[in-house]
Amino acid sequence: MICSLKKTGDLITPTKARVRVMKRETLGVDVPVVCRQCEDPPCRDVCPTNAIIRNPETGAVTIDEKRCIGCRECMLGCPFGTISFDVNRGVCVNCDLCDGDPACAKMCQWGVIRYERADLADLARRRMAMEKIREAAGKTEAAVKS
Amino acid sequence: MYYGWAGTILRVDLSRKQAKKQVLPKELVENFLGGRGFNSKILYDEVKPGTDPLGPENKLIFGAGPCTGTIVPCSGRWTVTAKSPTTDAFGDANAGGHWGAELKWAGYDIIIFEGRAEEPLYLWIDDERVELRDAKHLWGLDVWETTDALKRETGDPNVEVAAIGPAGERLSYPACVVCDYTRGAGKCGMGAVMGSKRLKAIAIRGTRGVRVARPEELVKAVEESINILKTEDQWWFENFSKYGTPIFVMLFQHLGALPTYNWREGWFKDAEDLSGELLYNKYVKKKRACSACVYHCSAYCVVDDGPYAGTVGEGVEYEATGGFGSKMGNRDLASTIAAKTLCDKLGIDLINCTETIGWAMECYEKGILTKEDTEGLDLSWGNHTAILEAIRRIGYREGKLGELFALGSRKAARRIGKGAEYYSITVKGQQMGLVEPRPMWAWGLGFATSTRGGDHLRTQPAPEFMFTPEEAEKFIGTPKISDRFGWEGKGRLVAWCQHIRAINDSLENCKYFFRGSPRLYVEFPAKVLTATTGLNWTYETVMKCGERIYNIEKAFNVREGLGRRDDYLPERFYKEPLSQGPFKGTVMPREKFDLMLGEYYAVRGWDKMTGLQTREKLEELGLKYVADELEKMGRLAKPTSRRKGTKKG
Amino acid sequence: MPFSPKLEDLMKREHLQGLIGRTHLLILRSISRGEKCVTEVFDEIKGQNYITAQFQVVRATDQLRRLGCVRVTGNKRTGFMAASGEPTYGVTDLGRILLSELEEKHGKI
Repeated sequence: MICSLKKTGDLITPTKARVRVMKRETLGVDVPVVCRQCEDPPCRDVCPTNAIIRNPETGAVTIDEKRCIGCRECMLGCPFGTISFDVNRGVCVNCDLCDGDPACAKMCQWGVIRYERADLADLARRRMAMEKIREAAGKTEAAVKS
Repeated sequence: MYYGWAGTILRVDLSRKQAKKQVLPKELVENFLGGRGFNSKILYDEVKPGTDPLGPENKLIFGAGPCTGTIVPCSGRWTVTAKSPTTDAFGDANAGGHWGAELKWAGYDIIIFEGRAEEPLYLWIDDERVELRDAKHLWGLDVWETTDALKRETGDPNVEVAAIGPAGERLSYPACVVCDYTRGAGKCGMGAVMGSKRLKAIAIRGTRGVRVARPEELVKAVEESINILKTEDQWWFENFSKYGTPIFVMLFQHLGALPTYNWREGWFKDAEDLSGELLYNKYVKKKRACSACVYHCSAYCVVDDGPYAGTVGEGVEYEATGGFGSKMGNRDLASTIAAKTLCDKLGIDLINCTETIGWAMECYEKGILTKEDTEGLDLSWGNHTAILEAIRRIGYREGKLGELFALGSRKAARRIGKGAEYYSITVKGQQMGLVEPRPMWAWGLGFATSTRGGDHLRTQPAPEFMFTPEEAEKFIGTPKISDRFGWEGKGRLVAWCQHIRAINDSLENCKYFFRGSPRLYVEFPAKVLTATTGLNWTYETVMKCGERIYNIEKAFNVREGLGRRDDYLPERFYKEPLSQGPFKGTVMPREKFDLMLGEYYAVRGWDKMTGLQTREKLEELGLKYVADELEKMGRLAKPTSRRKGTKKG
Repeated sequence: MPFSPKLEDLMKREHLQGLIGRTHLLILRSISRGEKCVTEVFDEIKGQNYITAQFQVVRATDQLRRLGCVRVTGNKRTGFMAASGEPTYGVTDLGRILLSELEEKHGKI
């Protein structure tokens, strides 16, 4: 919601947000889906007007709305479905990392969305793995003790 | 054009199968805030006294608040209001999830359902497009099946659905409206009212969004409030996020306030088997949240072993782990999860259900209900197999026992006689939330004076045990309210809390955002409301709306014939001291309760003896027409001299 | 009678002006006699100054922590939360100053 508020100025609606949470209530699954900032973006490859570029200052994959003709080919090209179409303005939109200060990461209270150095992002997964191993080891130890 | 509010009321005539849109009137916006406030005003104006709650003249009103669907923390709530079959007077219910936000994003503040459909219908809202569709193929399905079916039918898995299950279809009083699979708008039999209108569900897709008047101010207010919560209520924030409401099992056990054996006791010897920590460690697989929530208090649980293996449930709350637990002398935690999920699927309110079954269990123990009456069901304390079967019978209104249960414990007790009424723990017919009042006097007063019957959320006087005595003195006027076992100051505390909670329910904020820190209670609503709507609200003007909303609900009840005699707790709390646990011997003597009640009426500017409203108070709130009407009926108090209550803040 | 300037300043910063009183005196005195967790403090002081619930002491102790008058010294397993432990608190130098100022204000209750 903070994304849509920031990007539109005054409107809150998930359909105008560049990050969307997909949920399956009965499975207990909630996943935020947002642009991966691919190194070799398929969306850029398929755009007929070269509207998608890598911003030279921020490094973010951005859509130049002046060049965008609203054909939505990029939406088909993205394997993650992170690009959406703004029906009011007739252009495609995606996450541009808010010039390096992403509003969603600031608003997220639980660190689910984090803005961090890409070369250190694997640390989080390794930490999770370590916790799982530690937990399992603890359980095994308890089993051995009893 | 409004900011915050969508600006549109959707009025649906189920008899004629027509829907029309109306502009949200300024009068409502300026005086009743939103959500519950709007609903209550409309109910008072449009549902006349003596209306049959399950008849076509009753109206079923769904409302969301100006902050619903925005980034205001914990703002994802909505209210459904109607004349209630359990109280035969005012009723409403509130729930979270994401349905309320979707309603606002579709562009509506309120939906008013009138009349009765000839055949089952569901309402489909797709932004501006509104359709009443045939629901015969959904009638008979449980809530989860209905929700899945509607997502398939509309072709959109993100569609939000609020539905009734078999319980609502069969007009069982414990029936409720469920959204997001597991969020029940439980109280007051709203599910039965919805079923009486043959309305199966409301499915919404909303993309239009909510407009914010002062976005930067709002972001700042939101960040500031979250910061206050995390610094001034650190313990609460951390533990509530982790454990959710199941944390209350042990917390209330320590206060002697954990209802046990149908409210006979406030302490359960096996409480640790039901603790929030055990739930978290053993069954919780993930935490989930409602719209815009900072806590993620909802527990998504999976039972891996034992007789209930395979059970999946979400929103496993204290009313489940305690309600199906200690209240029924049951120490099997997994069974409470199974019970909760069954209630969600059948569309049954936990509080009404647990109370009705708990009542039956005590009657069974005392021989008032025999095995013949229960059709073979062994309703001994702690028999969780029987509990699940009882839920099923409530859901399908099956057999003699199902028929009895479908009336809720008050009417069921009246039907049986033989002293059963003593064990029905209700106020005005509505079952009480799970807090034992004998060691928590403000909660007791709150239950007794709630406008929708026995209900902890109307008041939720958490300040009684969470404010420091210094905060109590500054914000309520006396440190004495920190004494849980005393009567002084409680009238003032309860009235203050009731206004705050009316505001919470009208902005549509979750009350768990307001627990300890007084700054949040006092500063937050006006700040976020101003930033969202662009109108300039202050603490005083917002509290005035809270008081106005409370008074119009009270007036509805007064019109239906309710009076002082209905503002009392069940006899048990005045007569029977607790006999177990650290607060053994505690009781709430009736004379002391009368002192609390008198102080409460005085603070409210109502007649101290009868509890009726005065013209002076109603006119002060801009409700002259209400005063005129009540006077014509002889239900208005004559102005009396009263002590001025100082509501601090 | 206000508190000494440093304390008043801290209280203002933490939005606690006018909110530090007898409850905090009782807590500080209890902790100054030995490090304790909240439930131990509560058991000692309950019934005084209208204190009847652990949470009142939880929040008042946290207020003292925010003022720098007590600090966390360790952890203890108690029955308050069935599985997890409770922090123990000790008085700081600033806490001793606040304690004496509170005793001056409210007497040795």
